[in-house]
Amino acid sequence: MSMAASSALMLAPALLLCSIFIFAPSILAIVGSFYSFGLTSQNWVWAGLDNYTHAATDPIFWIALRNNVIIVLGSIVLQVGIGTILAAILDRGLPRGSTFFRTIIFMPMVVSAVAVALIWLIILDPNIGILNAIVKGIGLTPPQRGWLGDPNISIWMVLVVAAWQYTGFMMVLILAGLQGIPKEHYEAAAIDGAVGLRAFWHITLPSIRNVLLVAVLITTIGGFKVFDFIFVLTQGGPANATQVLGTYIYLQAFNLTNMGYANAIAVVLLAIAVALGWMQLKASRRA
Amino acid sequence: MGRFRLATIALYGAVSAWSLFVVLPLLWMVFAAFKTRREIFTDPWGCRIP
Repeated sequence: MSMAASSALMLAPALLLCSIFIFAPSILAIVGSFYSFGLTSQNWVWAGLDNYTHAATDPIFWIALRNNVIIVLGSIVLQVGIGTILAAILDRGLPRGSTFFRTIIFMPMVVSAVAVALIWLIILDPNIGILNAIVKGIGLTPPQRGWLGDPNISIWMVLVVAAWQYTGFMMVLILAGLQGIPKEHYEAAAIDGAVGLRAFWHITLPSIRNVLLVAVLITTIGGFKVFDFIFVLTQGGPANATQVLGTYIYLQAFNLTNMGYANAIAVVLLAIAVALGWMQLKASRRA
Repeated sequence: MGRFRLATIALYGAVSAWSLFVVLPLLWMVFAAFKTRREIFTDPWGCRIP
């Protein structure tokens, strides 16, 4: 058997799986976005670009997109920010116990997002939640409609839950970058008088710039694709305050059975994810 | 030396605070696994292991 034939044979299973589970559904979604049809409908009615023009004039679509951007920016600040600080502390700040803390902080990452959302649903509950008890205990008044029931607060609570779960992953990623920095850099800097925060600012941060870029891109893609724990926590409510593209696609597809429109929003989300994924690939190659 | 010690204590404090924030909900999840649905809603923070 020739080299080309054996290569093609070895690639075939992966290509077949990708075709069935990635390419075919993506192409079906793109084609479906130009039609109007229901969840169980046999008749696909040609709609052209109607679904896309509908999205452009749909205020909830823009609210969902804005919420995605808020989640992305908030997640970058919280997850990458706190992750960097924790990684820096664990890398050089603690004389002992680093492995212990690293394990604990990474733990939420191995729990399913649905289980995480259920835990936080109880913690944030206005009647039995411990957050209310803590807030009352220090003499403050908790929000009357609950932490997830108040449209002004709910999106921030979602950010807290996301940070709780994913900061550990960011910390481990950044810690790997930090451990690749040669000690000689710090020794040379110490001779010049740069220690502590100055060393962190002038040596640590520039040395892990590419790792931070990858961390930011992973967080950005995750922020746009978010669905599971928002669906369990708030289902996009109250009053669309936590509606994101993922939950809005679900709402349109399975509750309102506007499959064509849901496909169009999914294609917009796909385009955003592909563009960001391409950027991530380029950044990780540089890193 | 005193300043160095203070900084180390502050760093331990910061990491411990985040660790507690992370571990307490997980512990609650473990304890809740031993409770009935009724107990979760009537005494969500009580500790009961058979």
